[in-house]
Amino acid sequence: MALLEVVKVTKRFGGLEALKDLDLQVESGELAGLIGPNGAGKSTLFNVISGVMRPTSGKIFFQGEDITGMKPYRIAEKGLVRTFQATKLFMNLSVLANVEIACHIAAKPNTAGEVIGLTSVKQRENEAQQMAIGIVKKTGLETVSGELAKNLPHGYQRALGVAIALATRPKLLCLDEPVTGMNIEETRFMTELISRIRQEGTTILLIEHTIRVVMDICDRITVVNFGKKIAEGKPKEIKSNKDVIEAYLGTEEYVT
Amino acid sequence: MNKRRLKSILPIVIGSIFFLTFPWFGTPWLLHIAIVIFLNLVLIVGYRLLYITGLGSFCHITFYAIGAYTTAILITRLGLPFGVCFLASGIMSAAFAFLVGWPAMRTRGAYFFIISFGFFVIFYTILMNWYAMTGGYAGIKDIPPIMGITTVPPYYYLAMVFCAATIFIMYRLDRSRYGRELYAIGDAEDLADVIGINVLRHRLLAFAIGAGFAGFAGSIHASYYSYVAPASFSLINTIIIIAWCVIGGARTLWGPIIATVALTLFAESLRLSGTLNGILYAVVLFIFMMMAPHGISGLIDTLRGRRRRREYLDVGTK
Repeated sequence: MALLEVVKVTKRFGGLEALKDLDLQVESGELAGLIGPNGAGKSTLFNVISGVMRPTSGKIFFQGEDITGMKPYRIAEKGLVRTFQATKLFMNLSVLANVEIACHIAAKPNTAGEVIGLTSVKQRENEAQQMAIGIVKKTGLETVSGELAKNLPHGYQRALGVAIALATRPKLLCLDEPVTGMNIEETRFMTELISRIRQEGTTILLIEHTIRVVMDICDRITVVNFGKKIAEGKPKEIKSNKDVIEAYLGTEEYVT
Repeated sequence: MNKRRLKSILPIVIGSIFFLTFPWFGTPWLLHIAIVIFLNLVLIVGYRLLYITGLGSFCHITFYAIGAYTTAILITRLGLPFGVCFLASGIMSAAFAFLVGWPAMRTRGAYFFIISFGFFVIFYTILMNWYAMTGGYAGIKDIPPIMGITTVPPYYYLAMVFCAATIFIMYRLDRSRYGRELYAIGDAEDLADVIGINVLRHRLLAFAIGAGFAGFAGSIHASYYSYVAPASFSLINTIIIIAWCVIGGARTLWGPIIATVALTLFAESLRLSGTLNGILYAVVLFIFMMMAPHGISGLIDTLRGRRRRREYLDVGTK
């Protein structure tokens, strides 16, 4: 059984079909890539999977459970967490506080206990903080952990976006164009980070514009265009797939 | 370490002594203003809780009114003891907040603002027109005092203890995980949603907690003044609460508190000085907002940021 299964999902905006009978599977443990030209429906698919939008028809299964139409916070609780393409962070909180908030997803809050000042609750908060510090280190943010998110340079902000998602301990991490707008140095750092997360056992679904990155790190790539799947396979197969080259890549230059 | 502890405890000790002994040296007029300030503080820290999440409501004074009228009606009609009325007032206001918030919170920003304004208007109209229950424009008079006490100092202490308890709870709430999640929602609602925070429930709870405390404050209001009338819960009163929050800046607990104390004192002292007072009040607010767009909280944050940066540099040089 696949970890994530998207079955015949269609999403219509008025007369426009952003997704048309799209099927997609992500197996447990793999790093799956999703590519396609602008307007192909990649982001819409992400929105539908994470519950931000409801599909017009079709079903989405996560760990065999039907999650179609569930609220985003419920889906997140089940272990499917996404990042955003635009830098969405808790801008007025420090880097560490950003990560710490996400660390809490599994445990129910005991607000009354905290107001009274119970030690058991304090201890749990400390544990969350320790975990947050660990994630901040892993994502290379320890030098800026006290800064407010809004004061960070772009590359750090994107890394923080991934750190927040990672702090929820997801079973499936959906990354929406994590290296867009990054320079070479930042891109390399982010690529390494993604590979490391994957090696530690988190399944990843990656949307990306930068073909190179997808070709380098993904196990399996799905190509969509006009809301439909046009190819699927290993990076090598995709590279040499005629349909892909014609319909999406246009010229071979982009591939290399 | 010890010195630092002393430094943090000292203001609290001096403050406590000042407020506890205030009835001995304060004039009755000052004592009255102190009570007004205590009740206003409860209103503002309650209002701020929802404001943090990026939603401003227009009907906070309505929850104050619900509390005041609940106590007034229960005491004059059923003769219940104050303690029971006090609890009932808070619960009643919180329940109304749930009732209104449940549908209204599904809208955002200006829409929520307008819906809460609608609730304010409906309730105000009911107060003015349901003579049999609310007494209409004249309100409800002759509310029996708490345990027959008619001197001011006991009410001063009651309001003070209640205000201190409220601020303490809000302070702890602010630092709790729930509080931090409220800040997070205010910063990026959709991100909060996808990392598993139930935005609707958090906001609804914040709205109800704020309303509940406003209800308790209203209960004390009713007993202290011994009458309730719609004039105390009108448009200008609700706008002033919003003004405190905006001028204080919601990002710290102390910003709105400082703003409320300062503006209440300012308004009361203007009351002594003739006709131009309303204009002067407006001019001061205007100038302040021009100079400090993030309110008093913004000023506090700037100062703290400077200190933090200095500490950061110190570490760097060592």
